[in-house]
Amino acid sequence: MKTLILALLLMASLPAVAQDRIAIAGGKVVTNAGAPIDGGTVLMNNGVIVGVLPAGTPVPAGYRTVDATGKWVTPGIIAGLSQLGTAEVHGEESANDNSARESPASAALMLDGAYNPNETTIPITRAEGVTTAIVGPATGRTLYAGQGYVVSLAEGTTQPFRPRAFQYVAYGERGARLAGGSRPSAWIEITNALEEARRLQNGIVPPMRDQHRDLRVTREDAEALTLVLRGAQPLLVRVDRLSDIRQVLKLPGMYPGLRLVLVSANEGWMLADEIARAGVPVITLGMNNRPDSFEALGATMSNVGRLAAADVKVALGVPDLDPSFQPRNLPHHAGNLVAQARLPGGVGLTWDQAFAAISRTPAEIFGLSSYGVLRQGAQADIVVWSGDPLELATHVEQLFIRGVPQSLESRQTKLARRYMPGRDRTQLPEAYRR
Amino acid sequence: MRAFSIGALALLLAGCATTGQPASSGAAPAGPALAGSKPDAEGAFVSTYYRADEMANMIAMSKEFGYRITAFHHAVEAYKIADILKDEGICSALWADWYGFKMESYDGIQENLPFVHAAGACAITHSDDADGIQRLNQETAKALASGRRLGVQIRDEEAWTWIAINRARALGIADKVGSLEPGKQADVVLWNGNPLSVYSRAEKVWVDGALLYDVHDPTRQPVSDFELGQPGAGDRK
Repeated sequence: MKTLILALLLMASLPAVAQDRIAIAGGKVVTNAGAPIDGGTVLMNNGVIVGVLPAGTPVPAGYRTVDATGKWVTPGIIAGLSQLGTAEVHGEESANDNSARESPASAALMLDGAYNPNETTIPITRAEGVTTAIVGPATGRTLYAGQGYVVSLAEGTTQPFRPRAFQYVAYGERGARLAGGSRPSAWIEITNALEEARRLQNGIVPPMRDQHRDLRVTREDAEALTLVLRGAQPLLVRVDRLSDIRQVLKLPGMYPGLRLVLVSANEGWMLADEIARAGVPVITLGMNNRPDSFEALGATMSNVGRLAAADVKVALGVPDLDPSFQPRNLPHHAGNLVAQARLPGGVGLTWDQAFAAISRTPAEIFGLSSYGVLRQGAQADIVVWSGDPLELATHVEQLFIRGVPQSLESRQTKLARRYMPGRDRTQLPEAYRR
Repeated sequence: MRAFSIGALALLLAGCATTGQPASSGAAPAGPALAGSKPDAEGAFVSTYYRADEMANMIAMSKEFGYRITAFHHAVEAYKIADILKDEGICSALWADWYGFKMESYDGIQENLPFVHAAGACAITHSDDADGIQRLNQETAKALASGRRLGVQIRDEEAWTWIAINRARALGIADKVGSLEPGKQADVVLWNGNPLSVYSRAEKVWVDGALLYDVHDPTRQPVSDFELGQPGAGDRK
């Protein structure tokens, strides 16, 4: 009996993989690896896609068929940046581990230790088709925020599958404020920490003794940044203003091996060609269109389209906890960028580009090669939608992660069912309805 | 092309952002302060509350002191007391899907608007956010779809009342704006597609008969003083 319990416990700690063979047949299949297939069939087995068949091909024997006639079938949505699993309630400090205002550590902070699989935002977000999330920290005491993770939104997930996926640092107005009041102070703090990491890498321990103590980073932080110098982790730099982006683009030249990713980059379109030449990808909300700060005077919803037109790799993500732009609404953000392309003077994305920006492109930026596409050998993270996934009226009908059918229930769906209009009011109060 | 009245779209019920602070609308007759003079029984009184119990308490207080609440703003839990809001004739101005940013918004659901509407109460799509406010048609579409997913059937044109005539009613100006009817102000939007689609945009906007926005005509696209001479001035935002 004990052995059985142990075996069950061990199984529970491993990510679930579907045992049964499933064929999703008859839908409009968006493969992200070629033109959509009307009436195509996706075959999955052991958590992996084993075939994508053209219309009219019969389902092979041994597969359970899910009829997707009239539906859209796509890879799962990948949130290019989010805070999922780190903040149950943004404004409630006890339930928000996204940043550490008073910690002496910065780059060394590992956000995966805070990942909470029971956070209610996870099923709420999964129910809208998000299957994977890149999760980043917010800045606390200093401009280095620490290391983010990549996590599956599958039921039963116990920990991020890529715990120390990247380092996150803020430059621009935010970085300047945190570093003492100016961009030069932010720049010296960013580069000094990398210099200390470099010295540590070269066996110089402890780091510079003659520098001001406020500038010195802890040994743990310097060690963490050696991962950035080696290119083992990309460095995500939050930056918006044209001149700030230009400054940050110097980093790969100063530190060969450093893999730079720009975050937000609201004025990126003004130097799209330079960003493209540097081969630096961008993760941005895509919806910013107001000059709400002096570093975002050029903010426009044409930013993503113009960057993409210059061949910059752009993924959509949610850099800040913001109820206006929740990760579950990423398909709508993508749809708005399609709309932007249809306006005179506006530059947006094609539908295919827009969908890739919330699936294949973030996977590419983070080296998740089997994610974000429907092709043989890819991970079976598949969404069956009632219609065009970027449209506001569309909803998720079925969701598979690693081939396993996922629940679409959440705390919110339970609340909604408890308070359905026309419910029977003659019985016990709502608290007695499960 | 479809034309819908935006009605009081521009006359937003500017509720106070902090919980528990009653705020009067700038557009409506002056609302009373809680302390001090006796509230005017005829005036519009708009309050920002999130939770069902807070709203019920406010209603009880309004009865004790003899004033009428016109609308609750934010009202994240309006769906829990939609029947009371209907009986009291109080409108609820609601985000489509905001939740979880603070404890008072923890019980937010995507069906708040359709549930309030289905109970026969007055529902209004709102946002007090500089981004959310830009796309109230999309916010309405999201909420409408969420309701339909649970079997609450509301027609498109009924849902449009959430951003037009119901707002005007809450402000007491439904005789002037909020619907396309002879005698009303010519506040009209020409959309380039179904306004409940993510792909649609306003193409022309008339306010009181004056063409104040035309997507095809740069001379009908305002640029603020602040933006003059700055990067991005006059760009397609």
